[in-house]
Amino acid sequence: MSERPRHRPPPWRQLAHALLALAALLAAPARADESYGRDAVVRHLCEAKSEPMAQAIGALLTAVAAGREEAAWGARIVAALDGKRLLCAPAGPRLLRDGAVLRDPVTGREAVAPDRLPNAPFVNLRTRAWVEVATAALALFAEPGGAAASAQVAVLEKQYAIVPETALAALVERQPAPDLRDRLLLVRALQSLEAPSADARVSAIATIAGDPTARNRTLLAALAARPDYAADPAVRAALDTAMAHIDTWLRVGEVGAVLFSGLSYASILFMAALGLAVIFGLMGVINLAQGELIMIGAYATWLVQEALRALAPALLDWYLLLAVPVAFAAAAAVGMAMEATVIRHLYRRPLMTLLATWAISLFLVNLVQVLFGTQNLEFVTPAFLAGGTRVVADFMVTWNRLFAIAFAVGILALALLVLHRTPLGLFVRAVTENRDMAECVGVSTRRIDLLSFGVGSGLAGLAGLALTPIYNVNPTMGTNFIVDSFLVVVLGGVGNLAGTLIAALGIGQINIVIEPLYGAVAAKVIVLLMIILFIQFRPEGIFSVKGRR
Amino acid sequence: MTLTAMTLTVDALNQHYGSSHILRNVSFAMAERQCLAVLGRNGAGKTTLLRCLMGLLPASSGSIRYGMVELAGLPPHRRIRTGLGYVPQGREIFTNLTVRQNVEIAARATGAARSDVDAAFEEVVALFPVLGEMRNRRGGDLSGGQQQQLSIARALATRPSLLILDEPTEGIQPSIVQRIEEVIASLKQRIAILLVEQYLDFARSISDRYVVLSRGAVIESGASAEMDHDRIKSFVSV
Repeated sequence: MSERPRHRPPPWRQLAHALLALAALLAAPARADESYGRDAVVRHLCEAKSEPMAQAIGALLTAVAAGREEAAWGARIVAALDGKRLLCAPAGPRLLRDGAVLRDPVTGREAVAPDRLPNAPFVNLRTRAWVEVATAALALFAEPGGAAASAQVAVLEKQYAIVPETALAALVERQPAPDLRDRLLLVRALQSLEAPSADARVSAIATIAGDPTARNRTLLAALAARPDYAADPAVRAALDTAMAHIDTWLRVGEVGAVLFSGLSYASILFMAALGLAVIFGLMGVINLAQGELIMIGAYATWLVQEALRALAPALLDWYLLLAVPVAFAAAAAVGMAMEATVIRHLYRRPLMTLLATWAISLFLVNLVQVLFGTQNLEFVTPAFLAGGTRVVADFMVTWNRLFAIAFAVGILALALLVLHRTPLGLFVRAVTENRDMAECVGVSTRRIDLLSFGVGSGLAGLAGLALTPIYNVNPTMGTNFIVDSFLVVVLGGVGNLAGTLIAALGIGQINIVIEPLYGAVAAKVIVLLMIILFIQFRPEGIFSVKGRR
Repeated sequence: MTLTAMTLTVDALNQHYGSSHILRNVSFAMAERQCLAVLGRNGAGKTTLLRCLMGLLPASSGSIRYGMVELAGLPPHRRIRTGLGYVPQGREIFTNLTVRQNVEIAARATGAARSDVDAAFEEVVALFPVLGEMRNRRGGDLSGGQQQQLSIARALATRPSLLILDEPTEGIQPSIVQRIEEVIASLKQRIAILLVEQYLDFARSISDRYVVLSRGAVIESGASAEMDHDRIKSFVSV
């Protein structure tokens, strides 16, 4: 190459460049990102070693936060790295596969494919965390209020230790949603725990105490155990206060969780016992096959799910709602067949009905075992029932349990409506109170018996539907519920909705409260003893029918 | 249908409760719109007879014909639909239902449409105004006399052509007894009435015919106008 003097910058220009560089150096403190450039980012990523890759991603995020880089370009590079579409080695060509085309990762211009394509840099476990953080953060930069913003913030929460400080600050600033902003502030507090100044630490600890979870409790406990960390009395005091605060809320959360789980169990019990209470109150028949009617409802629900899977997969998510009439009808049909063929002929012979319904119960269990096998059925959790929402501390309200509760409330409303607003309800109440006189004003009690048995059985079927997202479904599941259902009926008083409701709530809660303390079997025994004691003093149940006879 | 279509004919009715023979070959007949008084001491089998007529107790043998229908073997609600109405001893109203619902259920069960229920209730309120005032009270909250009125009102709501009353004035304060007697008297001529009654004077004044039961058998019967008061009294009083 020959020397070409005319291309050489004039001396004054050289001087100006040098001055500008000096000024830049003086203006900003020397920092890693000072030398930021797309080329450097890509080069470090291509080194395929954890340390430089992490640094490159950190620099990229910091630059995007400072507005020196476009979030879109960063997102493209990180996505390419994640998807093994960044093809390069520490030396040699650097390419980005974009569909069928290869591009230069820095400029985005189309590039010519070399004879031999380089490999994609391997993303190891440590780098993976960085890639996740970068993906989430860059998406948040691009669209702070996006649909997936909550999930993206959750990624930052999980990997809080490696989120670059400046990027986090910028994200907090740009977040419009107050709840997400609070969560980001919390991530920042987690980082500031290790801040050198005691004040920063205290304020970080206070922020963390505002989010009382078991994870944060463990985190603070670990810090408290470090003598160097807790040396400062202010920090020590802040830690103690924070842990006490978290402990309180954790306990509140635990109580909430137990109550909620008890409420969901009570809902299932209520639905199972409601049918039983109606039948027992009306006919004095103790239907030991009620548990199997629950099982039939659950199996009907499963059949609907399988039918949808085969015929209309698009509707699969809605199988629970579509199964409502099916589960009701299936259980009601079985119940009415039972009434018409067996129970009708055994009225006023309680022991015989007891044995007969027990036989029916065994028959149904075995029939289902032969038809479907003994294994637990698998249910798809519909998207709208997956997950839940955190209420306080670690207390999650899960949608599937909430569904059972809401379903039970719906059933209660429906039962009240039918019982108090329809002729059938009027007849049922009259027959429950005085069968002979109901006949003597013209009510066909046989017809009412059959209908009520159908409705009572159908309610058990709906209980079976509502418990499919929570409990195991197999042929013997009914026995688990029948005993508790009976306790509810006995405790609540015969033919009394309010009594059934309160007894179901009581037994459901007591069961769930005792279970974690003494175990499931002991819980059953204790509940039984309590009910035996109660019945000694109030044989007619919680509510008795009052009035002149 | 002829005038004699709605007659009640009881023929050789027997009833056993366990090994004891309660009704022995009871036979009697009553014409349409006639009022029959059934008299007898406590334990003579009057209530058992009525419960057999209603189908609440099974008859061991014998026949009960109402109009063209053989009632023996039919469940009570079918007998109600042939035109029987029943006011039981001890009232037995539905204590958990409101006054109006007690009437409504009788009207509904015998085929009244929703719109007819109001008319049926207003009809019985015209007979027993107190029921109108108490319409939304639970039956169990009513006094004995009010419950008895409700029991009669409920039976009337089934639109009977033969009303069977079992001691409707038993254990009720005199002022209400009078009201009940007035109502029963006003029903006479419109429908047939089969009345079991302890007040001999009232029974004699209202009934066309009478039957005296003793130990489950009919020992005396005849037209009330020709009733020998003292003789009957010796059968009835203890």
